[in-house]
Amino acid sequence: MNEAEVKKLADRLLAEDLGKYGFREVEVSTAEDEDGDEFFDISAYFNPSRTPLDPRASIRSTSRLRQALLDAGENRFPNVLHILPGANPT
Amino acid sequence: MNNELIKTARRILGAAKRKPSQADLRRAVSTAYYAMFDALARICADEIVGRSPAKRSTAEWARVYRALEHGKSKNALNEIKSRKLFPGGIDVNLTAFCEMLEKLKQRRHQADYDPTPLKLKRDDVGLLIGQAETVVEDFLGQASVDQRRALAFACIIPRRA
Repeated sequence: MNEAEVKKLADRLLAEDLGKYGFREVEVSTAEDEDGDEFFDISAYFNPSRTPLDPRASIRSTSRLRQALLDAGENRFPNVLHILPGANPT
Repeated sequence: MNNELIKTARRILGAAKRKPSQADLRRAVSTAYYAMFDALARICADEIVGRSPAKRSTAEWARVYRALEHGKSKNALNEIKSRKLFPGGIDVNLTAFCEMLEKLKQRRHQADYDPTPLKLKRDDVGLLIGQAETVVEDFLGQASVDQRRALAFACIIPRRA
């Protein structure tokens, strides 16, 4: 799958799973791990929400995305970084 | 020890009343990874040698603990899945543990070696630490002995081709 296809899939699944926590959208790029294997470097952005993002819910949503990618024949790992609203990065 | 490392990661992140520096954030991410790696090494030694205090003080336990290599856990979940050992499927907590370890391993590598500024803030790194803590607690508390053992053997003893 290309990055646009992964973004479309991730946007849909994360909106279903994490919408109540303020999920907005993902940005997807590819990167290489220390072994030289490609993975999807996914930043998931959140708007302010009254409900703090639950670690367990965020973990489960990543597992669901991982399985959806595998089902589509995509073996590259989706590394989802959850970027919460707040001050600018240091 | 992994609880201590989780506490250390939080202490690095929260110690400064000021905004944490890039170095603070990088050290916290790296420490969260090592908390999970330590947890996995302990699981391996417990499942292969034994978990009693007497077993944990043996040279054999320490040897298995030290035998875990950073690269070996990467394909453990795929190996377990390919062997179809569990008629009911793979425990969600085993899946989450392996995925979180892989995630943190990649993020630790970025934190330690990539000079590009991290896009993470204090809260984001706090969430990463909370995710690591959650998957370890859930796995240790809920995964079956068989699945803990399967993970240990997949990580320590490579299958022959």
